[in-house]
Order: sequence, then structure tokens, then C-alpha cells
Amino acid sequence: MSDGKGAVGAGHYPSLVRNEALKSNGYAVSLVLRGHKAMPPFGRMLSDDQVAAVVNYIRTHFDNDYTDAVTAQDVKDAR
Amino acid sequence: MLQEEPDDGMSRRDMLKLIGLTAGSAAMYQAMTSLGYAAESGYKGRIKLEGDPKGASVLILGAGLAGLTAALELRQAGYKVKVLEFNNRAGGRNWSLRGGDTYTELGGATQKCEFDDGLYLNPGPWRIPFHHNGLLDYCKRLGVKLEPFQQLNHNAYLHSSKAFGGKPQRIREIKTDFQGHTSELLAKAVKKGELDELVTKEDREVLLQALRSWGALDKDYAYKVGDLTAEFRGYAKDPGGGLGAEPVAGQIIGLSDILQSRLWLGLTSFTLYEFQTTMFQPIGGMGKIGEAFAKQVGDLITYNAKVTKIEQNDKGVTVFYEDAKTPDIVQKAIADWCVCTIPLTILSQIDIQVGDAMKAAIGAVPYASSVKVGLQFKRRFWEEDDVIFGGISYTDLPIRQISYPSTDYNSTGKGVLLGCYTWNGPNSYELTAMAPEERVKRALEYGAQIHPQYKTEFENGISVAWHRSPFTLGCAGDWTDEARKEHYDNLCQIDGRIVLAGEHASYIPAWQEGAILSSLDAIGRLHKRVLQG
Ligand SMILES: Cc1cc2nc3c(=O)[nH]c(=O)nc-3n(C[C@H](O)[C@H](O)[C@H](O)COP(=O)(O)OP(=O)(O)OC[C@H]3O[C@@H](n4cnc5c(N)ncnc54)[C@H](O)[C@@H]3O)c2cc1C
Ligand code: HEM
Repeated sequence: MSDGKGAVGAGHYPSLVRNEALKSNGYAVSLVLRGHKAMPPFGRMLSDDQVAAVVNYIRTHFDNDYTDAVTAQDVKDAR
Repeated sequence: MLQEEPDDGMSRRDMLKLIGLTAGSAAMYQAMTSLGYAAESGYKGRIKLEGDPKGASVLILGAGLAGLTAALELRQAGYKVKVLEFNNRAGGRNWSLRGGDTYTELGGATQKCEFDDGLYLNPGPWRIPFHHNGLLDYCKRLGVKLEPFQQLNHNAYLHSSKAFGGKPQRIREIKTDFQGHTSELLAKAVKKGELDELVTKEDREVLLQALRSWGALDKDYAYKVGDLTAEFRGYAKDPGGGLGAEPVAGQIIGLSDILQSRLWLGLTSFTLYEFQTTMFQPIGGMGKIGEAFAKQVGDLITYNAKVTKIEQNDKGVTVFYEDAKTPDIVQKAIADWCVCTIPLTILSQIDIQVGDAMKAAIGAVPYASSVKVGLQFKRRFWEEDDVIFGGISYTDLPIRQISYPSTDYNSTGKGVLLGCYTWNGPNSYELTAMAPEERVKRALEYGAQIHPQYKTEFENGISVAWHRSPFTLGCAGDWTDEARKEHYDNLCQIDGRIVLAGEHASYIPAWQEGAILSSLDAIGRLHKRVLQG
């Protein structure tokens, strides 16, 4: 799972590898802030900077190459 | 649940503590009921499903305590029952890991439990409040033997890495001293007349007497080292027999030291309704309950059955499931009705034919994070060296707690400690992200700050991080008040021929009682609906 490939059991965690859903940077930010279904929300646990850092990380790793970085201000606006 | 870590500077539990400390117990109770704690169990005694279901069939999805309860009661009421379960065992989160067991978590790591015979870890549920009457009744009916679970041990520790030079403090000393100092302060205020407007003259006299008794104050209302304080907080040298046996009272810890250490935070947990004595645990592991249910209804369960799709129409329900080991084999089960107890994390990913309101509710509840680590040691040094028989030590270290076994006291030989139990917050996620061996290693490093014996006595360990659990994808439903208001009723409503049950469909989330009460309520309503034809 540390390879970003997700995992499957009775349910699943999606793979982040070459993930088209990451094209829009707003989607990942919103997911991390608010969570969705089995993904817990991190909005209250992470600062704007931390959310931006983790979103920028997954969008430029795991064979993703989205270089339009998210800023802390973007995160603040999305809260 | 205990040790709910702040994820925003103040957790719900912290807030309760604050309300309790500033506004008195009535405000605390009001706040607690509105936050979903403290509600009475609501068990109304053994369920009576009267009337003939005329051979109607029910498919139960999931063989945790909710599913097992439904299976037991519905079969007894005359239904044709079938249960589909993803795991190769019954019980769900009700589960004990014993020597020889293996566990593969999401991410692929497999651990083999290497505990000696008779030792175990309860990775999930581990204690039962005395007021969880439903669960206790099923234990009685199923012949599950219970023993007391020690929640409060006055001789266990409160530990802060930032106070008292990192030296753990005995709960009894912090408790007695905190109570003594605050009683002394209050007594002073009363005597100076500072509370005259708030307390009548008659009550002032009695209040002073009460403070003296409650706080172990001397005749001048002072909290001072002496025989009296020693009777409560213990001795530097215990009384003995023969020559040189005279006791020596222990030194008192200063109020400011206690306040600044924040160790007082650890005191409130024991006084909460959920954690008051008497608490219980099944002898031999919490998993005994699921195992006892399986003895009754095991013949109804298809194991390794992973439900992938749930359809319904006005005639019945069709459930598609894969063999968990060979996913290519898809099978179909049909029934007139369906009780679905699959955790919402997973159910939200399953194609289920229910109305929009129920669908939205299924997707509205994130699950809490929790990590447990079990550590086997060569000898019971916590008893032999530290005189701690059961109970829990609390710490500000990422392991949060160390719990000592509430069984086999004062015996020679090995023992298993719960060496880590996190509940939400960054460090629970951080531990979840680690490989299982790394979690065990951290539990050892941190725990050794409290019990240095860890370094020489450790033998083996095992760890369960609940967000990596293949059969739940999380610990338990983490409802917010807003989500509950918007979605809870929609979640519990019967939708056509399908009704949901489980801890997530209760006001006692993260407790087995919630799973059982939710199930009893669901099948009660379903039965009425069936009889209506
Ligand atoms: C760390 C921790 C500590 C806890 N502490 C306590 C405690 O001290 N005391 C207490 O009373 N409670 C405690 N609880 C809560 C308790 O474990 C739960 O409330 C209760 O066990 C839930 O029962 P359930 O039947 O609702 O769900 P589960 O037991 O989760 O049952 C659901 C079943 O559905 C199965 N399933 C999932 N997906 C599928 C699928 N696709 N197809 C088929 N089957 C599927 C699962 O394998 C599982 O068997 C704790 C929980 C945790 C995690
Ligand atoms: C904080 C770091 C995290 C980031 C940046 C992140 C990012 C993402 C992204 C981008 C998606 C969307 C994938 C897609 O649509 O294909 C996603 C989905 C998901 N994530 Fe995370 N995630 C994080 C942490 C977690 C954690 C800790 C968990 C579980 C405990 C988790 C569970 C899930 C699940 C279950 C989904 C699917 C949600 C759905 O059904 O809509 N995520 N995550």
C-alpha cells in the first residue's frame, strides 16, 4: 500500500498510481479535507500547508506528473 | 472510547472533561447525552418474535455480533436463515488472536501470532460495561464465562514524557494529592467567606466536614504529609511486622506540579459511566462470544463469501457474492428479506439497490482509526517488580496506554500486555502507515520508557491497525452530530426488503451492545413487516 497501489479486501482502497482523477487538483484537496465514504476527513487534523504538501506529493509521484502545484491558499479557500 | 486523541486541538472526550470540570455534572450529563454517550443500553429483555413467518426466508450479510444475533433469533422465530460472511470465521470485530493464528492486513503483510498457549490479544473489543445488558444476556444464554476487567488500578501509572523527569506516577498518588489540594483550597475559600453568597451557612459547615473527609485534610483543613494522607495515597515505607516495621508516609506532590503535568487528564476516564466498575471480559478472550454464537448458528453460515452486489424487487432480494479466495467464482443467493450488517465503509462501495436517502446515509459515516499492539514477555514483571495487577497506565507517548492482563494474577510464567491502543488523531494514522513489525518495535521503544524491563523480557508481538482490516476498513462508525441528524433515521429505516444493522446503526457506536441492540430493533421491525404480508 505504501506503493500507492491501493488494496482489496471485503472492500477496497483505490490505487493512486497513474490516477486520472488527480488531474483536477481541487478534487484531491476536497477529498483530503472532507473525506468521502470510507476515506476519513483530515481537514481538522492537517494544516493548509500539510494538505497542500500531501496533495502535491501524490500528484507528482506514483507515476503521476501533474505539475500545477496546489498552494496553502488554495486549501484555505477550499475549506 | 478512551484516549480519543484530539484531531483539532480538542477531542470530544476532552470537551466533555472540560464541561465536567467547569459546569458541574448536570451540564456534563446533558452534553454527554447530546453527544451520543451515556445513553442507557435500552435492552428490553429477550426478544419475542411472535406470529408465524410462514416459511419466509432471510439472508443475513455479515457474521459479526449483529448478524449472529439476527441469525439466532430469526431461526428461532421460524425463518429460513442463511448468512454470508467474508472471513473464514464468525464474530467479525469480536475476535481474539491466539498462538498459531495468522492475520493478513490490507497492504499484504501477514503476521503469525506466536503467543504461548492460553495467551491472547483482543485486537478489537476487550471490555464490557456492566450496563450493556443485551450483550451480558447473550453471554449468559450462550454460556460465555466472564471475569472482571480492571479498568481502574490505583497502582497503575499516569505518565507524561514532559513532567516529573519522565518518571511515571502512581494513579493513587496523583488522585489523592489532587483531591487533597483542591479540597484544601475550597475549604480555605469557604472559611474566608468567599463562597458565602453561593453556599448557605448550614451547608458551609457540612461542606467543610465533607472536604475534610474527601480530601484527607487535617483538623486545620490542611493537606499535609502524615498518617492520614498515607492511608489514602500509600506509604514511602509500608507498615510491616516486628522490629523496624514502623511505616513512613510518602511525600505529597505539589498542586502546581500536578496541574502543569496535565496528569489529571487521566483521572476522569475512570469515572465515566462507560468505564465504571464492574467491567467484564470473557475468560480466554473476547472472541469467545463470536465462537459461542457460531456453535449455535454456524451451520447457517457460508464463510469466505464476499458480497459484491445487492438487488431487490417487490418479490425478494438477490445477493451476489464472490469466493473470497477465488474471486472469479460469482454466486447468487436469493431470499424474501435481507438483514445487512456489512460495515458502512464497505457497504458504501457495494452496488446496493436502495433509495437515495439510505444510500446517502451509507456514505456519510467515516470510520475511526485505532491501533493495538500485543506484546508477550517472559515474565509478569509488571506484577513481580511494579506491583500492578491488571488495569491501565496512561501516557502522552504515541502508544497512549499500556493495559495489564486482567487474568491469571500472581502467577509465574509469561504474560501478554496490550502495549499500544490509539484512538484517532495523527499518531494513530502514523502507526497505521507503518509495517506491523515497525509498530511492534515502536510499542517496545515507547513502553520501555515506562517499564525498562521491556528491553530484557520481550519475546514476540503482534499488531492490528484497524484501517488496514480487510473486513472493516476501519475501527467503528465515527458519527458527527450533524451527520446523525441528517442520516441516522434514513440508515435505520427498512428500505423495501432490506434493513441494515450493526454498531453503525446505534447510539452506542464502537460498542458491541450497539451492534446487538441495533440488530434486535431491526429484526423486530422486519418481523412486523413480514407478518403484515
Ligand atoms: C479497537 C476496537 C476496540 C473496541 N473496543 C470495544 C470494547 O471494549 N467493548 C465493546 O463492547 N466494543 C468494542 N468495540 C466495538 C465492537 O467491536 C463493535 O461495535 C462490534 O463488534 C460490531 O459488530 P457488528 O456486527 O456491527 O460488525 P462486525 O463485527 O464488523 O461484523 C460485520 C461482518 O461483516 C463481514 N463483512 C464485511 N464485508 C463483507 C462483505 N463484503 N461480504 C460479506 N461479509 C462482509 C465482516 O467480515 C464482519 O464479520 C471496539 C472496536 C474496535 C475496532
Ligand atoms: C492524507 C493523505 C491521503 C490522500 C492525499 C488521499 C488521496 C485520495 C485520493 C486522491 C482519492 C481519490 C482516488 C480516486 O478517485 O480514484 C482517495 C480515495 C480514497 N481514499 Fe484516500 N487519501 C489519503 C488518505 C487516506 C486514508 C488514511 C484512507 C483510509 C484510512 C483513505 C481511504 C480512501 C478511500 C476509501 C478512498 C475511496 C473513496 C471513495 O469511495 O470515494 N485515504 N484518496
